[in-house]
Amino acid sequence: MNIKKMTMLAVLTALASALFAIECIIPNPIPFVRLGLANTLSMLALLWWGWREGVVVLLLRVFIGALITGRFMQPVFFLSLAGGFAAVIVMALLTSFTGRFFSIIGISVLGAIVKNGVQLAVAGLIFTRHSAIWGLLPMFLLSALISGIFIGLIVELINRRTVFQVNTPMTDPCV
Amino acid sequence: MKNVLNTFKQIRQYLKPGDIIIALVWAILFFGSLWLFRPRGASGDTVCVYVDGKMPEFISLKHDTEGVINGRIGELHYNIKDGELWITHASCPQKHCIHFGRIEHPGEAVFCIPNRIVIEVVGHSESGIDAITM
Repeated sequence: MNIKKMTMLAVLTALASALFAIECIIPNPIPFVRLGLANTLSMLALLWWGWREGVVVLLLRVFIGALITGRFMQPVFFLSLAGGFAAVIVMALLTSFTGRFFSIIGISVLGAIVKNGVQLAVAGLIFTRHSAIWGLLPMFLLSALISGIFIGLIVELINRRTVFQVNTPMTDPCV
Repeated sequence: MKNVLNTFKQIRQYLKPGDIIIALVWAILFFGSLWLFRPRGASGDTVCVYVDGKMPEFISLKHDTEGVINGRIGELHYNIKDGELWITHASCPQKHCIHFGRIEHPGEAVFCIPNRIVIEVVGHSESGIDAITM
């Protein structure tokens, strides 16, 4: 691991943790739904290097974010851990196996769907142990679509204009 | 107006053919779950309270009351009025259950994940016995 990559990973993790903390402070009227801006950073790591780096940024962000917001070892912590991990793995599979067939926005939407689905499954199977929680699925899917498109668009724009030269199959050759 | 149109054109240019599959997957899941979890029938007359996956407790929606449910980390205060139930106070930090609003149709439910509480509306108190517990 070279120094440039290590520094970049640290910067991505720091930005993700900060975004996560800020997003937790902003109150939202809709229950259970967040935009998940911090996911842009783990998705960038995933696109620039690979699934390992994506998982590293995600895990560090979940741990540091939970410590900042005081949610460590609470149910919410386990939900975001499980959901985020599943989403990064699925997004990595799509980027590596299908290459340019899916756009970044599409991959981000699918990642958001997987993340919300896994969160509901974990919440239903472990925490409430009741199937009625699946009634939230339509609302979660709607939020997955909106936040997925938004996050995918941000990642797409950053990926196009990036000044960091990182070798990746997904990035266009940059100046 | 033209700006908005241009933005959409620009977004479309970022998309790839495979995205249609993802859009289809989303649409099937979304409309399928909407159909599966559609509100059934008129208002329910009983709620089923599950704490920590244990045997449910039944509360009638016919009488206007207030009450307290003890969960894993604290209390949940609820209000019942005109056949609707909503949460007024919660001991959890996020307070999702308060923002969740009122429930009255069978199948609708309020959750408190830190307290491991599920409050689900059922049609009649007898049918609650058949409720699925995972």
